[in-house]
Amino acid sequence: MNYSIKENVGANGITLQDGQKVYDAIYPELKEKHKVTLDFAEVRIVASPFLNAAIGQLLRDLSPDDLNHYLKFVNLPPVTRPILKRVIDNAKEYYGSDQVRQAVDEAIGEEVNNTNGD
Amino acid sequence: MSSNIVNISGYINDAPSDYDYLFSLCDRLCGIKDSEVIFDFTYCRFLRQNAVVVLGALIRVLQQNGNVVAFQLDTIENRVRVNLEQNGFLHRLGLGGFPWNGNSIPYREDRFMVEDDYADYLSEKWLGKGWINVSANLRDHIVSRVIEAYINVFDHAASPIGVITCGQHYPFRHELRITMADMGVGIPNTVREYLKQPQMSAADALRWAFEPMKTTKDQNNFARGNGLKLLKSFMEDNHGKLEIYSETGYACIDDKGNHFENRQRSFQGTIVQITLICDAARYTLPEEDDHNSDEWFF
Repeated sequence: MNYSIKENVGANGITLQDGQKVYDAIYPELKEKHKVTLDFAEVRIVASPFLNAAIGQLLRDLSPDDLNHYLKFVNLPPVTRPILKRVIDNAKEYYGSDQVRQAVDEAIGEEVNNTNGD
Repeated sequence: MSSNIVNISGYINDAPSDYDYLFSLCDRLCGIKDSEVIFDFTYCRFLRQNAVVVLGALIRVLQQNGNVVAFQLDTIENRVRVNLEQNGFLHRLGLGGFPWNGNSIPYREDRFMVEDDYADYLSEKWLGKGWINVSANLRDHIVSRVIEAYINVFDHAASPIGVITCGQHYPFRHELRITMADMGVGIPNTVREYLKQPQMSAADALRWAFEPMKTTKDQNNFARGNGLKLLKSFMEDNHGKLEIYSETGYACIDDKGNHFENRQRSFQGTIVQITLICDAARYTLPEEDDHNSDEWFF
């Protein structure tokens, strides 16, 4: 499957809603282990909410190995690359496993207690 | 209907003490309901773009509270009036005057999110007027980062007035400044609620919001919380200055480092102020690399 962001979303990928549209289109393909190519040609502005919804949430139930194998990015603007990396790192941390997710949620509260007062 | 006269006075810049003055006005006026509120500018000598934004936000809150807001236009000193006309503030409030091209980035109010229009505003009215000689790629890079602050308002703030924006070019300082204000729940409240830490100070909450790998989630249960961090890293990489006032918290990110403090005066919502230098040579753009479609991103 080739999916053009410009044709399906527009020249800007900014909102969660637009990201969800991409996710809804590519997730069923990836789940069936079909190859997907996301084409960013002629896309100008990309913001993190869009990538959180379109890409980050794929990690909820697809493995990094499968995503590396079946999902490809083409014409990715250089300025978008570090945002995509950060979104993926963030999502991997969060969706790593149910235990990790629960532990992160619980540990955050303790960490904050320890950093108060400076 | 009772009547309240509000004097706007002095030179209102964008130092923390100026914000204290603006926040004291908000404190005093935001609780007024079903009255007449008249703004008098007899003693006002200067309003920087941040003051215009806070004033606009305050007026919209007053109107939402059932007040009738009036301006004593004849009390506005000429150069203040010229500025308020040029940036479109007076026109937006139905007080006459048409905006024109000058050193202002136009005043605008977004009750609802219009992200493509806002991206165009940042691209054309802020970065596209020749004040900073940026390439199309660099312009898109800056807009991609700055628009994160705009999206945050609609995703997290629940601001009854949406977001108000205005900016200014300062040719002698070689700076571009833009200020956004909302009257929502504030970043500290959002963080406290998420962490279930009601006693957390506003400064600590802001610090937490900027820390890497501090993940929040939305109602759809997916990882969020990159916007402020991306904006912060952009400012750090490009010698910009990012200031945030929210509740009693103040955050400043600039070449001197990251500074967080608790201030005496509180602001109900959030103000984000961004200062960029007008020297394209000071900016770094992520380089084209030999990325190929087989790269492993995950």
